[in-house]
Amino acid sequence: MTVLFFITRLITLPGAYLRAFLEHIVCKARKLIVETKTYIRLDEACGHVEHEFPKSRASALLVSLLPGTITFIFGVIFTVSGLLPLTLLKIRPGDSVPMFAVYVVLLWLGASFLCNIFPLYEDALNSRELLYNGGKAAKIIFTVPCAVSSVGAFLEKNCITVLTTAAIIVCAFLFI
Amino acid sequence: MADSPEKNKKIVKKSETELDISAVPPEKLCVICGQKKKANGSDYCRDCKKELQKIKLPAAGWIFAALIVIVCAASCALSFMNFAPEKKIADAKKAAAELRLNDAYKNYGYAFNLCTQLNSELKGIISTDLIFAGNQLHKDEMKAYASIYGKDYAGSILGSYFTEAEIKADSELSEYSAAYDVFMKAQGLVTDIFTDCSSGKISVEEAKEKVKALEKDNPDVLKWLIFFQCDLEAELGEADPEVEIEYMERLRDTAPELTEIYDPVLIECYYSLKKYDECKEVCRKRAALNRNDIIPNVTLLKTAFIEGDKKEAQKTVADFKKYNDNNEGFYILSIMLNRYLGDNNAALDDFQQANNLGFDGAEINRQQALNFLQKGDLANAFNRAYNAYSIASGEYTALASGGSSFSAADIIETLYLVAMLYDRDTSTETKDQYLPDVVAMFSSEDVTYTPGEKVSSILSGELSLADALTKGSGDII
Repeated sequence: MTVLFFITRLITLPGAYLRAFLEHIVCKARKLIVETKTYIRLDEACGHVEHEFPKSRASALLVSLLPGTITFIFGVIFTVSGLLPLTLLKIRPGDSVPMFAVYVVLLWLGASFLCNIFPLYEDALNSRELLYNGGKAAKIIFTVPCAVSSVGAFLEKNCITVLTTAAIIVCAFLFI
Repeated sequence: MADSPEKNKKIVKKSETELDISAVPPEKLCVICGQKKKANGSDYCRDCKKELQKIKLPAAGWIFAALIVIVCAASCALSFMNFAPEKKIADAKKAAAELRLNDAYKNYGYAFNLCTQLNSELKGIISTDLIFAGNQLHKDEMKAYASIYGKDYAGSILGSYFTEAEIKADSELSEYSAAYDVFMKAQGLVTDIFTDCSSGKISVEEAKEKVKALEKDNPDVLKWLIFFQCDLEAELGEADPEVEIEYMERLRDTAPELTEIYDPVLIECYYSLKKYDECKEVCRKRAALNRNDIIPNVTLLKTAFIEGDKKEAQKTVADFKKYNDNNEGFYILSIMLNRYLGDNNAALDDFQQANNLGFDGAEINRQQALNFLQKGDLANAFNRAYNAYSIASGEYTALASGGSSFSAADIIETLYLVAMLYDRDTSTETKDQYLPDVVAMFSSEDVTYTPGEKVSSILSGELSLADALTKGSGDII
């Protein structure tokens, strides 16, 4: 599974790298110690930064939710930019090779970001645990995002998010 | 002597780092080196913690993030420019799915035009074209076009979008192309006959016989030979609706797929022969095939008026509105309905609303002329009728609106009636400057216009205008 996971991270390299970099920024900002310099490596934390477990709820939520949210926003923008011209406007290489290439690259970038929106499974569980021990307001606001990120992290860990993203793109080509 | 607190601290620190690791449980050892005890509140020993704190954010990460932001901004700009054509294509697809074929065809056209416009505006910034609607979309556009005007017509314009190889490779396109080839073959066979007939060398009957004689040797173009025989009937002689129906029913049996050819003719013929049940049946079928088609709906409305079925008339307008809100055809129907119901102000308002939306076609101008006629405002009625005539002349004989076309003859008939009433009932000083020309046009030495039965009755006073516009078909035609 680790090799498969590594391959999917390589396919979605821009997203994996950006997400890891954003995690690193958040860790720095929250003064959490980061254990590794490399973001892309052959283990289950490929595309993430290994860091010490946040002890505070704010740090835990930021580490598990913020990088994914940013990559998600980028992912949506790039996917829409690439997918709609290819599906709605039906641009093909015969129309313009450079523009076709531009849209394919944008779609690949978008898909790669969307495949890397969830935190490490351990981070997701940690933030959920800290949240349950926290105040009522935080629980109300963050229960759904934490649940989504836990499920997503599990799916991402098992390479299922790549399959779902690919399926969504194929459906878009078939039905738009 | 007891050690000072300072000294005690140092001893503790020393014992933490120089501990014998075999005596320490593994969970208390540094997770990185595994050699030293974890520092207080941390997973790492002091040394490792110090080392790990030195890890900086990589420069490559900053460069990559900056690059992503720049590319994201560029893709947003591209998306923004693509949005308008994409919206039109989405509208076209939705319209095609709802069988609003004219809307679909129009929206495909708008999308291609928008791309051209955007690219020409961007020429100052970038020399190559940035915004495209794929050529594949022309296939969808052609599908809508073929459904409205026929496969042969679609086949005639394929060449401007596709290469021969592309046409051959696509089954649908090659079908249109083949349909056009068949039409051209048939036209080639009858061209000389039509020329001889129009020059008077042979009579219409002889021409029809000659075209009929071609049927035996050319079964592949039989459908068009039937059509041309009907065409000869209609164009070169006084069209007899009974004969036309015969031809069109034969055409329907031979080539059921040519609905866009025989249905409009059947509608017209059944209506003129007062075969309203048959007429309504064809109208409903035609209206269901293309929900933008105004002609079957106008005929359905007139039939409902004739049968005095106000509910059916209102239903016809409401049904058409469902798929044609804010289109010229809807306003035409609404004006007709309101005028028939005697609500002249509502009819005038309908025209104003349509006009505000930019609808200024020949038929809607004719309808407004009738509204003014109903109101007794001859000057404005003439103005609108003349306007309709000018637009119609610009559009040649067919006044495209919706899928089919309104008859130019209706506009001339309306102009004739309005001009004659205006000329008869108004003093010379207040007459429109174009009126003398129009009156002269209808009574020149070369051509003497013969009005229809209803208009003649109105002019002779046998039928009042009010009755003509609120009873029967609700029109002067």
